[in-house]
Amino acid sequence: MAKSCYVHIPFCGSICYYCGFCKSVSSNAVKEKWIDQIHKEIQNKPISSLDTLYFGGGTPNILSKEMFRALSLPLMEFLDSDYEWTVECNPEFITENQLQEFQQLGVNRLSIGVQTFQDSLLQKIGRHHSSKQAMNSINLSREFGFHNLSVDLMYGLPGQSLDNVIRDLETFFSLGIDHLSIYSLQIEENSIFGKKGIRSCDDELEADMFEQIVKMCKNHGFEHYEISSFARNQQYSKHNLSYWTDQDYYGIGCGAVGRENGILYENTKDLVSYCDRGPMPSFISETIQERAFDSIMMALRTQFGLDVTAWQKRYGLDFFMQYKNVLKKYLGTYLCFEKNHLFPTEQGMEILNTILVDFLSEN
Amino acid sequence: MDQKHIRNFSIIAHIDHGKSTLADRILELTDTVEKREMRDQILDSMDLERERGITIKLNAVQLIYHAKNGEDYIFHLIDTPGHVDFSYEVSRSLAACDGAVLVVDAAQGVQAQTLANVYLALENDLEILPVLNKVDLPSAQPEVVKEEIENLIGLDCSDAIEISAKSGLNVDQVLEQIVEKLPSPSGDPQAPLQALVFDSLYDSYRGVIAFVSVKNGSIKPKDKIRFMATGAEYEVIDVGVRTPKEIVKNSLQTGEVGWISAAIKNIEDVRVGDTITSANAPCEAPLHGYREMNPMVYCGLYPVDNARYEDLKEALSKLKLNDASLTFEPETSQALGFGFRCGFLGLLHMDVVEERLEREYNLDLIATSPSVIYHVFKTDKTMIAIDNPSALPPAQNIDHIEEPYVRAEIMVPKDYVGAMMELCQAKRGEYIDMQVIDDLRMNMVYELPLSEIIYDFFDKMKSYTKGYASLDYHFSRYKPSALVKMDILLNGQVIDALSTIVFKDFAYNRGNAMTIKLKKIIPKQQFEIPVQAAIGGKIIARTNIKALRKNVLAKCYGGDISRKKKLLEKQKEGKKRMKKVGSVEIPQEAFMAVLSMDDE
Repeated sequence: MAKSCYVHIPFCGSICYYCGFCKSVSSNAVKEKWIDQIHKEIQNKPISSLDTLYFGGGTPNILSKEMFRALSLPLMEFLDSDYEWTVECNPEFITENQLQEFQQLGVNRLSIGVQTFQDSLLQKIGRHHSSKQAMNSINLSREFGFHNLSVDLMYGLPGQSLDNVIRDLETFFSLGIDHLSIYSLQIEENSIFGKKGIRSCDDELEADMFEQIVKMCKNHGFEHYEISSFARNQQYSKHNLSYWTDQDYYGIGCGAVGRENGILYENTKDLVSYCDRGPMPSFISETIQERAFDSIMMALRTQFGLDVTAWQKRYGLDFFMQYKNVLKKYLGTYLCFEKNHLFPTEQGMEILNTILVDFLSEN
Repeated sequence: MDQKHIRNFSIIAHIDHGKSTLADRILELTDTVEKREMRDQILDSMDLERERGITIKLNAVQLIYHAKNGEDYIFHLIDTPGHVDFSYEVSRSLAACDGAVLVVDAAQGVQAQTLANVYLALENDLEILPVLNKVDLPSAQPEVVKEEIENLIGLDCSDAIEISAKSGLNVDQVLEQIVEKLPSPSGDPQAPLQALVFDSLYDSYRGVIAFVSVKNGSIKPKDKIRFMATGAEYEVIDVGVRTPKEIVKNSLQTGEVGWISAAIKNIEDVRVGDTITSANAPCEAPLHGYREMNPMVYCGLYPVDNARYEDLKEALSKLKLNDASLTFEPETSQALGFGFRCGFLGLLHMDVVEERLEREYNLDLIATSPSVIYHVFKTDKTMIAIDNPSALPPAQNIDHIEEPYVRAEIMVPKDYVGAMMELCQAKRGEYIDMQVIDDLRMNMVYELPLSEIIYDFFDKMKSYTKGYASLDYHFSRYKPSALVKMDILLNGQVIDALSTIVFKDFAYNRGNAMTIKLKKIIPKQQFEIPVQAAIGGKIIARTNIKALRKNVLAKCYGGDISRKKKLLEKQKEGKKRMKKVGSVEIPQEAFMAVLSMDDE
């Protein structure tokens, strides 16, 4: 039974240029219908208890106080004693009132979409907050008792230099936050950047930036625990670890993806049909082999790696026989095997796709 | 029906002058194809033809025409390709005909291939019926073009019909003129059977189907037939015609054009150009057949997956059945393994064959860059002909090398004569002659190395003249040239399949362009790869493909799993189409890089 739950909030104040997710700028009437469907969905799920709850988007903190409460109440009752409840927040919409409400309901982790601390770059990617607003909202969150905070940053943005990235990181370190997610810009076909034909930055520069990020984070006591995630004091994102460690998770709401009994499903991305007819999930049919590969693909993203014994037991396959060629090629420089776990080195993380393609070819 | 009521004809034209459109209209007007089955380019049955809007293969159909004199006529219409590479197909169809409808675009006028096809028709003693197409275009100048036809070709155009094949305007008059002006076949129905094989194809149920034009005698099921060139004998199972649907008939009579099926399993037995006669009462001598065409361009074709060598061999044999100008011989490459050195009439032909092999036979292929045949005179006074650069003997054993030249005729508007002269000179051309066609156009005659024509001459010509020039060429002779072999090294290793023979003075530029192009095509790998061009061990150009440092998807949460996997699947497919040579993985297109590089 899944112990994690993801809720997708597909609403935004405006659309960022790089975003390829399911999102829209919608009226209150639409939101009313949407929340009704969410409630039905929750009722229909066999949820018994949750270790982690994650509100992602879109922009979850664009919801009104009432709407947010209505969304949270039916889920709160499932939370275990040691739960993690994360809400993704856009600094543009963080207010004292909102933080107070979050605190009262029991939200205990905020993931703040800063993206960069350079105002000119923020404008270029279609964000409407300023660097100052971002810092203020982080300080405010602390004042309201949120200590498990994460910041999202981006690199490889159009016009961003290595120096810009270094300065962003220095600003981040000065804030004393224990978790960082840092993503290179991906040009998604269905994003505004994609439609405008904006190209991603030079590979070599992007690689320089990534290596610099890893180096600086390690110097500041952060573990590089997943390709794009860094944490201090073991403040990992428990919820995200459920994806990377082959666990089930409920997916709720328009545009959400979930996994129950090992089977992935995608809810409709069309907000109008969701409001009328509910999630209409499409199930992704996968063979055991394919699921076994998914498990490798996700596990090798983390420093914890793949528990090979558990994997063999779960999928009834012989790992070393099946992948002997891949292991021969990459063990040492790119992959390590220790205490029954296969995990990537720093070099391995950088070219994980290349390695995974070879795994896929052995399927 | 008696012979007097049969007309066998082709439609000939320069590419894009409206051949296939006219054929479509004729099929409609004669109710050969019902309206609901009609589609554009109906005779072009290959997907490839329809996609590219060109005719590659000839196609023969029978249709019935109710003439205005109240009598019915049988027409055999043979649609033909217009591109210079496929003039062989044209000459085959013409041999099966008695007349030809010459279509000339009333806006563009006579073009290089108009002339080339007319000469082919004249060689076959065909009556030619000129027709001006696209007269509804604002830029049409039918009177000027008629004069051009009279001056350049010497055909009387006083009765030439002005049509629009697109709208159907005056196409009915073309049909009338076919009846009035083109001759009927002149064979002897009582003579022993003589049927010219002008095409064939392989049907997996019925074996080889031969397409024939019955010149004398007749043929029916159960007849014993003999293929005169190969001596192979078979009993006829079925005969028939195409309308373009296949229709079984009781017999094929003198003057008729149709197909024969005789459970022929051995592909080698049927040769296009051969004569079929009766095994019991054979004729004395085979029909004339027609000029054999020799391939001009060669390249290596290799299966990406070496295990599919035999499949490639079988596919090539089957393709050769209805593409007699294709040749192939086994060859081996250190880099690519076992494959075939194939000969083609030109680059488009090569492209089409490669694509047909991939599509119709589901093969993944690597094609090496095209080469011509070089005559290599060695110091021991012997001469060898090589069609593969990697077969060139060491420089110290070579006295000199000769390469094939063509006589190229380029029709070009006066404004572009200067530009074309520059291009011809840059491509080592020798000026031969220049004629004035009319107030606007000139005909330039140059002798050019064939290797330059296949390299990028055609594309350059188009861009130099905004597409207004047209080109025709024929082999002229072999001439000595200062040629060298340029090798390409990846990670220090010579890749034999990437070697080319180049003109010495062009070597530095091409070497440079080639290394830069390869750097773009070959994906980064885990280590740095030096890319070098060398002549006789001396490096003339070098660049590096930097090591791959980052290939990873930044975000991957629950929602990204299937998307991410699609991305990996795509990379996996791309990888499958790469050839691993030594430690380097090389994509297919790298072996053709020489064709798409810019060396200026």
